[in-house]
Amino acid sequence: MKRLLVCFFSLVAMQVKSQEINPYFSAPADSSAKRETGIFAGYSAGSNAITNGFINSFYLGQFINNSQKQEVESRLHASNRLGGDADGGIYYMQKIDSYHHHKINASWFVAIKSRQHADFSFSKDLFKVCFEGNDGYRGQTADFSGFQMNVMQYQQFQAGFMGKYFGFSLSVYNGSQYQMLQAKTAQLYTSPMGDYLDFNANYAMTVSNPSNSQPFANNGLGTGLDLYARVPICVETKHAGQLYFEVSDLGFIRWNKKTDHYGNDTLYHFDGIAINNAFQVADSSIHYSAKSILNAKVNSQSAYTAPLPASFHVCYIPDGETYQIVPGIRYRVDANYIPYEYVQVRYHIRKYLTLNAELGYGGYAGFQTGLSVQTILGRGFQLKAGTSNFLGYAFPAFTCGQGAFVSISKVFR
Amino acid sequence: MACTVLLLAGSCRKSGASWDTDISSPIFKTTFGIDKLIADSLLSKNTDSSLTLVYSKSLTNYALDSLIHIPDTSVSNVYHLPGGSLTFAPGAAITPGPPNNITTTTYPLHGVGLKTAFLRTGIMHVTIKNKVHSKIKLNYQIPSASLNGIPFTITVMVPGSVGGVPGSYVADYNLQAYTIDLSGPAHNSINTVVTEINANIDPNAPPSGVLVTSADSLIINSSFINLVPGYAKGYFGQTVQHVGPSESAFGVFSKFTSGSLLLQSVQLNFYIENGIGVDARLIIPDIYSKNSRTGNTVHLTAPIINSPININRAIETFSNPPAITSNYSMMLNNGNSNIKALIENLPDKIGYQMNIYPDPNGNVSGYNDFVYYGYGLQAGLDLQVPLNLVATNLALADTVSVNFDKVSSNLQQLHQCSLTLYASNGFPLTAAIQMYMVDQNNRISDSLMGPAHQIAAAPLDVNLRAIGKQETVLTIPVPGQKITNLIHAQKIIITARFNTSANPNYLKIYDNYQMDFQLTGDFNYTIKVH
Repeated sequence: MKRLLVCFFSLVAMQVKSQEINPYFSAPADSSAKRETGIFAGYSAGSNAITNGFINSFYLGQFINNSQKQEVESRLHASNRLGGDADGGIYYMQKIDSYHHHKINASWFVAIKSRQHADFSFSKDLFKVCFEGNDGYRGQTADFSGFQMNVMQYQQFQAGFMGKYFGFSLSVYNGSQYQMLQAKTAQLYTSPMGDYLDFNANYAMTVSNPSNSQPFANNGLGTGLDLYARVPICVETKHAGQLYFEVSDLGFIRWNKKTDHYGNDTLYHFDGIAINNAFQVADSSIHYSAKSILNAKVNSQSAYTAPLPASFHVCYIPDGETYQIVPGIRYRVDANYIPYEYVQVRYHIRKYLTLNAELGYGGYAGFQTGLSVQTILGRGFQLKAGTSNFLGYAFPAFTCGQGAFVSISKVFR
Repeated sequence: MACTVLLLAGSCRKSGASWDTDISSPIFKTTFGIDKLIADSLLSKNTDSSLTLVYSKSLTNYALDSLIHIPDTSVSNVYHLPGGSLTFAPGAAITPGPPNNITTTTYPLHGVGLKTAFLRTGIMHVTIKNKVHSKIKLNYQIPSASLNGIPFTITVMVPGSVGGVPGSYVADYNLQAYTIDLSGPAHNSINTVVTEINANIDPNAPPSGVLVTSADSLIINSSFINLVPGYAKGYFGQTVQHVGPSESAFGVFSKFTSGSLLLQSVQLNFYIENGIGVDARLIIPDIYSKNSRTGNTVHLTAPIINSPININRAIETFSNPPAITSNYSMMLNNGNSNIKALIENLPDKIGYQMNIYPDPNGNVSGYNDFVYYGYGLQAGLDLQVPLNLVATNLALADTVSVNFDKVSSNLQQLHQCSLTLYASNGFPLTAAIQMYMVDQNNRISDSLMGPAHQIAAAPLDVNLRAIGKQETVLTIPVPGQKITNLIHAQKIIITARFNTSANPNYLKIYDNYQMDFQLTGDFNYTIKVH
């Protein structure tokens, strides 16, 4: 259980918003640049129940007190979600007309990234049993059914084309770690007197080669596609602008044949360790009367194909010199994610300084208040930095969801 | 930079998060029956399903090897050939004829006079040295040893002397299953073996013959090794066999540490079974029970103590079985001995001493004593204790070595707990359970239960037989200090103190009596993740 919890929170504590994994997809601040290279990193975490303060305490190894637990419990629903990403990488981009001296306004690029993703769906009872114990469930069944966990660590090698109206890239993925657990049924019954426990479980679990768990390990290979399109609309009207479509991480990783698969549909009844003779207590006289789910035997080992948590993003970007109001929606497939709807205000203070403010709802968290800045620092350096929810840092005890990103690039004219 | 950000994020993490939980869980369960206290093999169920403790103890097994021991013996025959130089024709005899080539060997058997023996094991080791410059054909016989009526005989060719080096022959012959007549050539001796040797020049020697000088000789050494009879007949002597003084473990009550146990009755059958064809007399100076924990010793007072017990010889049948044992027994009970006090001493050791006098009247059989392998004189005790008893603070204890080092960090996360013991008692006994923690200085540092923690006895019917089970729920608070003491404990002593519920009436213990325990816990526990 501890390992599960560590997995549950440690990885979630390093999550990132997907829109920042392709920073070069956004229009460059300096359009005269012929080449550009940069580095970027960021994370985001979100939940519709677990507060930022709770996650921070967990990640920083602090004691989680009762008020923190109660704050979370007051937000718990029958089914809850938690998830996010942590990414970092480097890229290089070059305009194609820098070779041909024709202004075709297109570029090619390559990028290398380290990616982590985790998402969970869990019940109210699971949180309460994990963080309060089962004593409050005497005579009741704590229902963990529907628990889902997806955790992936992988590296991405990406190359692509970017044009004025569309772009795409192809990627090869090195799969490092993968854990997937789905509990169709998981119920823990605690008897009124605490004299027995019944655990009814119907679960399936897949874990990539556990004996090869070092950073950047190779436990699988995959491929994927990213693409975008900009469609001008309402041209030469006061609503002129672009519809922006983006698809990211449309792909899969084939985890190798050393991937472990567990599964069981069993009722575990535990009424204490059976001691054959209390007056001759020795190992040989002790018999465990229940198996542990965490000690379940590997049912099989075989290769396994897991889809990546692909994201789809649509927004409307109106033409504007000073400010733009950009509404959009983002969705991730198979990732316990609900559609994230947002409105972003882009304020171009000067030619090379843009402030973005965003108000959104959905994703892994509820309401999000993003804030970011994009500027040119001089000598061809550009900076993009921001947070996906600045209130998450200002009021961690009462907010869910946080994230920060930074990207520094150098342009060459 | 991406790596830097991730490393910084990682470095913020100092140690695992922690939080308090309240966990309710069963811990262990066990069932206690009388079979957990006394091995099944020691319990006998009576017709009314009550139980009787049955215990047998062999005091001695006086058998063939105690009576007869044949030492390893070597016989040397040296034949010096006639003086001067003589030429012997091929096949000519060079040893004298009967009776000069016959040797009798008498074994010193210390008061035992054997007429006949059947060998279970035995080896004859033969070494022959030939100084004649020709092969010698040697015939070796033991006329008194026969297998299926055929006397033991071997014929070998011994190499001749070459260059002053005598020819030699070495071999072992198995005497297993041979019957040996030990009465000598005239059948009027005892312990005597007869051998006969004939030596001839090699029949294939050159026709001109073999020159034999006075320096030539034939040396024959035969050793009889590991002669163990499977049957013997004769007179076995009067060597006294002393058994003990000796003490042997009596494990029936080993777990009782204190208190008293009153038994309504005890029976002890003292028996002798004589499977040897020898009259015998036994004298038992002492039998006692010792309780090492209390230091108390109770000596048996009974007619068998210090009174000669004569037992007749077994009868030889010359069929199967080969002997009909002669038996003696005496039943000791509350009326003719203090056997009840001997057992109520709750001994962990039984001591005894015994002297066995074979043939106390001498060789009255005329050398017709006999003994077969596997048949001996056995003496022993058969104890029967009906479990009809009064227990007063009768305490059982067991000490368990523990080492909580590996889980001490987990236990330190346990702030307090409340244990609940559910007992379902089918015995007509109250039970006070206790668990003592013993520290590294071998001192009791703490105890788990309070003085009021007692398991109630099952109710009784008019026949003083327990009916059903009595439920008892004991709540045992375990504050933090007790948990600390438990972490530092090196040993745990588990005790149970029993009292029969209808004192002073004796209560029978029936085979269906059982006591079920289940321990559950409510733990205030801090979970730490690493």
